[in-house]
Amino acid sequence: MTGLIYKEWRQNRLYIILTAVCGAAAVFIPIPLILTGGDGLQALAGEKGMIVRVVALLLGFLGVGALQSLALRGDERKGWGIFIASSPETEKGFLRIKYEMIFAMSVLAVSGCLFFEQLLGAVVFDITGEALPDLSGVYVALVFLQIFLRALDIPFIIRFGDKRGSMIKAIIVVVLFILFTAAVMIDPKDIGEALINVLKNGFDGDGILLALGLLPFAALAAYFLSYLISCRIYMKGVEQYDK
Amino acid sequence: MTNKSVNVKRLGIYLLVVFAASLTLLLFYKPVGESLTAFFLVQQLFCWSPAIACIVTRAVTKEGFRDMKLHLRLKGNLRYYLLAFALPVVFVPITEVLPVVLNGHGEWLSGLTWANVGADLLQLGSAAVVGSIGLLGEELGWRGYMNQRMEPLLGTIGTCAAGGVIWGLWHFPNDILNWLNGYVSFPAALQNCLERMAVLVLLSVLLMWVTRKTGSVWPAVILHFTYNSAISLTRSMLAAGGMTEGYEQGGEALVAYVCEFAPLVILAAIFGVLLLRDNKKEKMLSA
Repeated sequence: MTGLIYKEWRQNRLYIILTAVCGAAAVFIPIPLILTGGDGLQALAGEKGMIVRVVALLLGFLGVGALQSLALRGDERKGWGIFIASSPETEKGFLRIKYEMIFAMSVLAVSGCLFFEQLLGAVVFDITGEALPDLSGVYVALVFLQIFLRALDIPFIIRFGDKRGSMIKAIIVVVLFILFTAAVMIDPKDIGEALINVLKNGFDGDGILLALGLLPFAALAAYFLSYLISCRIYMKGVEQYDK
Repeated sequence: MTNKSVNVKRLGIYLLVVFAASLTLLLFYKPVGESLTAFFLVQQLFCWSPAIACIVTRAVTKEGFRDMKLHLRLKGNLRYYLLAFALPVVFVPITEVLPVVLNGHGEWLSGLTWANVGADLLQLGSAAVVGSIGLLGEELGWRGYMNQRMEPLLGTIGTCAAGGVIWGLWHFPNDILNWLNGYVSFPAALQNCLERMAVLVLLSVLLMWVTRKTGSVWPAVILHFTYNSAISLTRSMLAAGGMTEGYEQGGEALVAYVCEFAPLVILAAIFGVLLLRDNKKEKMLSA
């Protein structure tokens, strides 16, 4: 198992290091944007600063997502697939390390964000006397959203390879969107009312807190399920890889 | 050189580095008191000093990095991960809520509604998964290095006791810093240190057990994080009900002390027995 971890590190160390850089960039990019806008550093603590910071955060996490997709490449070879399946680790051990690495990249990104956000907050406070609003709740939510999206992504990449997998995933998303839009257009009133009732009855003040609290665990469960699916379909994907 | 003297030398280097790093808090006490940035940077160095000491010692003594226990080892050990999370969630509220009830301040429990507790518990769980990595800075040093080098010298229970004392002493510069910056008196700083040392000696037993069972420091990271967070979450819920910090006076303080330590003593005793039983099993198997 240590060998597989070492192999992942040697193969993807650039992407792993860039993940930490993305985390830092998400925190520091707002500074020049705020300063070039003519506002002082204290504007970071205001509403405009908050919006810019959240947008930078979203872009940072999008970057991390792209890096995670790049880290999934590199093993799309039939020879490698057959070799790892016949090794003591089997494809299950190989995929487990992949999933753990992707998860660790998300944790690294959020840790970098938290560290640099606290540092930035301290610097801004020393210079301006203003405290930066805390965005740690946003980071944690984004990390679990990212884990959920990877849970959807990875089986497609494993089964169809990177290019075909992304295309098939995009087609499925478009089809689902068309179906949903068609359903809404056919009978907008009923569906709209049904949605509003679900939101009203299912999510009162306390209920919504609990529901939001369960979402991270749903993301983790989806991630584990994704791993099980990937284990099942891996060898089918290997048959389609190049030599 | 015998194995014992090798371990003594390695421990010596480790403790030298870890305490040198922790003393930077006192070296820079003036900038730390005046600048939040300085405080943050020095605090980060302090918090990661055990991990830094572990890496430096391994590099200097050329013993390698293989047994750092950084593997997750989730397979077959998920129950220990869940236990590492569940234990503090159960016993920490007991240590905080029981003295409030026994001292006749039941009205302060109004903040502990099912919805609040449920939401905080879920939040704590998700934070433990992604936010606990900061405590790797401590656990990599204490459980990932110091315990392993100490156990052949002092035995299992001796390691928990001595390790807890060292861990408590490592925190002492923090207490001195609070005194130097005028937040507490020196006797209060000393009292904080001694209380914390007692808690950490007991907590070390639990941390050692989960590390030994899984062969990984990550359950200890989660247990440590959950313990710290459970204390602040419980206190904030009690504060929402009207509790003020440091309310205990006279007899109430004695009740608070008993409630703080009794659950930990019981848990430490249980896990201490389990550790010794595992030692016995290992000896029988190797014989």
